[in-house]
Amino acid sequence: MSARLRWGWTTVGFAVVSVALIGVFAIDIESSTHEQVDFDNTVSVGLSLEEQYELEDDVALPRAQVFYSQYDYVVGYYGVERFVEHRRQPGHDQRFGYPLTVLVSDYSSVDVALTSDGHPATDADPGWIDAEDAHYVVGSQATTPSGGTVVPFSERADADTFADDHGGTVLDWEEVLSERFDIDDAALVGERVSDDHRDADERTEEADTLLDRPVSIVVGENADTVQEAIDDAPAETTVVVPNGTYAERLEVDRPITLAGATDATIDGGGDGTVVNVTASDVAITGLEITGVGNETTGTDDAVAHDHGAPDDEDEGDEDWDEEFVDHYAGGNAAIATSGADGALIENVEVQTPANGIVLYRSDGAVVRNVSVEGHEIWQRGAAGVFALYDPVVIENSTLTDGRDAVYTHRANGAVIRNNELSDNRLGVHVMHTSDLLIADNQMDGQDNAGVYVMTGPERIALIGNEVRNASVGLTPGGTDSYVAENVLEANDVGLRTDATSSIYERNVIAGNGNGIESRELLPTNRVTENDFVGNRDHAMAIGGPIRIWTHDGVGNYWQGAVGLSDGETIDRPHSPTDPVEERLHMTDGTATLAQAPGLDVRSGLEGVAPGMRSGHVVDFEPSCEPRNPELLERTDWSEQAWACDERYPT
Amino acid sequence: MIATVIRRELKTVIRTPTFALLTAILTAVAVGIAWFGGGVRAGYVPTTVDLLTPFELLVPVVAVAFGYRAILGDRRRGELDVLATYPVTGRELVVGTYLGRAIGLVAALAVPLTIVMVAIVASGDDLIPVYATHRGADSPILFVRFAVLTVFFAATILAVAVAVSAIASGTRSALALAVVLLIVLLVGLDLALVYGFTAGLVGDSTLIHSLAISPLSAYRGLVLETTVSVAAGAGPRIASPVASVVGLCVWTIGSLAVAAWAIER
Repeated sequence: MSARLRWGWTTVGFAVVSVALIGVFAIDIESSTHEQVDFDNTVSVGLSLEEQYELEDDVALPRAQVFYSQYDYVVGYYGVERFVEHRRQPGHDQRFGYPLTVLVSDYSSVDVALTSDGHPATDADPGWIDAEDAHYVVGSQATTPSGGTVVPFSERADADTFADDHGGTVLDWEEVLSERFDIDDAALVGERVSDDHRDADERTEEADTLLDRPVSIVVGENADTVQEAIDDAPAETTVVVPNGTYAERLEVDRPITLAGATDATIDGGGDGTVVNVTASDVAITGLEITGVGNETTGTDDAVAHDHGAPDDEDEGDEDWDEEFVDHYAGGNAAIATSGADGALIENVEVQTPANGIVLYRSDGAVVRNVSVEGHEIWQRGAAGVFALYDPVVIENSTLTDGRDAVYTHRANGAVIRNNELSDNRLGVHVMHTSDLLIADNQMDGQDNAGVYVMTGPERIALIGNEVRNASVGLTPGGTDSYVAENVLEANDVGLRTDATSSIYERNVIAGNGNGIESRELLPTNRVTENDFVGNRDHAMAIGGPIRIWTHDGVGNYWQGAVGLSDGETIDRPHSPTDPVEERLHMTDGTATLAQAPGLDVRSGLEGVAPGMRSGHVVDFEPSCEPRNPELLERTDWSEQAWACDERYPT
Repeated sequence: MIATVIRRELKTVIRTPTFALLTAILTAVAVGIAWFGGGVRAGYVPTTVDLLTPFELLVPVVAVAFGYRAILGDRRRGELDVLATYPVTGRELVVGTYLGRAIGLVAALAVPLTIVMVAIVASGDDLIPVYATHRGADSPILFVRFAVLTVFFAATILAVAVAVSAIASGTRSALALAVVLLIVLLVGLDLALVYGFTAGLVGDSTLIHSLAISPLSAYRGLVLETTVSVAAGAGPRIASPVASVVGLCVWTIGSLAVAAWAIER
């Protein structure tokens, strides 16, 4: 090969490489578009499982699917407005990046009408259209189960027609993005807690009036049996049950008060449900109930069967959960109510191998100061108090040794407060129940979890509870939950965060195996002002992108976090999942190692492009001192919660 | 003749075990940071973010190590005098030496960058398969951009180091000059920019261009602008790519010119 030829090839090679290298910078990466995906395969928000089951078959809610620059899953939103509000939340861009592509339902491709609930019903599945090309009807009568919704059309004329028929104005994408929509978020749930308490107070005060009814019959004096007394008593009066044991099973089908003396026992003889209540405004107080049948699942005298499900509000006899309710609510109970609106059950002591109290479609019923002792082997027991379909208040009660101390099924708006729940499988088992308030309960020794929220409900408040010695302290699920001021101590896992778009604040998480186990896929939770002390691992994260547990310059207290401090926050990000930093509170010498320049340089820019750093938690403003010293005093760990500038426990 | 000089330099690089050791250390550090920082499993841009700051510090050190004795060695062994009898100009000698060492340096960087990239491709995410996924704004092209910019940055520092080797009269002065050079590059110029900015010597409107004065800032700005901001979204402009590229080129060509002048002196 001649020298000239070689030079020629060298020059050509050099030119090719140069062009390729410059070309790398010329490629436009941002303009890549995304094909629609099956909405069922998106990580979706905005609709609880219950709401989903309740929708008629032809309803097609407006939806959006969003492809973010730094989030590998496609995010699905029920309601375009939910995306708009979601995007407005602080930290959104930091966690998701920016939307590369937004696709929305296209109602021009189908015939659309509104159901009586205002949900858009169509003759086929609406197709998808790029959000920037759509025309949006805002402020019409169209709704999702969460409220008013925006309806997108590819054709302007279709949007105009829809607005003429159903109200609202037609906007383009830019205008929709700057609109404000009311969505009940977790912050609102937190603000509403005191209102919920006040409503429950009013409810219980109203129930208290049932105790003021005049005495009409005393069992043993005016009647031979309790049942006879109940049958004879005029409405709105009190039947007194003197001391003694009464071997009877009762049916209360009229609004009376059944009041035991100091030591009155109803013994059902070990067969079936002992007291069946089927009228409104019944009060049962001061009784001990034993001899409950041991059937824990569907039997012939199931409340739901006996008293006919007042089921008219849902069309069709085959409700989606009918089988389930027959099965679970059909077990034996000490007291079972059905359609007993406003009932009061107070000062009742129950020993039961099955359910304690079943409240079936009993709106506003109150259970107070009741003790239920369930089956020692929880696998054979059932619920201490089981609430179905309607909001009830359960307070100041002691529920032990059952499968679930409290079990709620579609009891939206129930209040569970100030109870002692111990040695059950679950303290509170939440199924299909939104807007629930679980407050100030003491839970100890639950085999599985203190509170387990399943089936993705919305707006649940968990506040002021103390959970100890459970496998998992709290497992909030669903969306827009508010979890605050709880003390979680000595559990295998303190808090398992399945819920998204939720607020976890001012909790004390001490002495657990894992403090927090973060399992949600969407990085939309706000975790601040919590105290992490004495956990083997303060936090761990499974799947999903990096979690940034700082909000508005406020982070959490992490026992062991190091760095310079102004006395309030530490001037150095803390990552409780970092292999060195996670041991800061356990292992001598880690404080020095963690601050090595080689480890420090990489944490600096992490927040710029967090991406899908699976299993990472970072707090950019760790607190120097515990945030909740008063709550911490209730644990064995307050001595261990040293301030960042103290270094050793005082 | 340049080709001959390049070949000779390449042989030197290959025969010097120190350069292989440097490559190994750089590789270990880069792979370690990318792995333990979680960047590898997170993708190309997060890895770039993880590596940027360490590379700003390490790459100049490696580049200076490759270059600070390049021409000085010839001088000390008397080869410069021998070469003077050959038909090769001082300029050709400098360019040849520079290119030869640059090829070695590129190889030293290519090893860790390639390994990290392969690791990213191979490890993927632990994503849950039932959900639809996409790659977001992340792309191997962004990492290639980072790699190209790193090589460009390293080549610039190498040129400065070659100039030092041409100016220095002895091993000790070369070492001292190299240390001074590193301090100026790694800390001095950026501090000077900060001083100029706070003292008002650099105005608000000119800062983005003045960044190009410091090779470190030019490199950092280019990486942030062409890779990280693609994923992070809009904000104030991070850097002026044109000014930064010009800045790095000026440093490179200027340094080589100084080296040529020093030899022909």
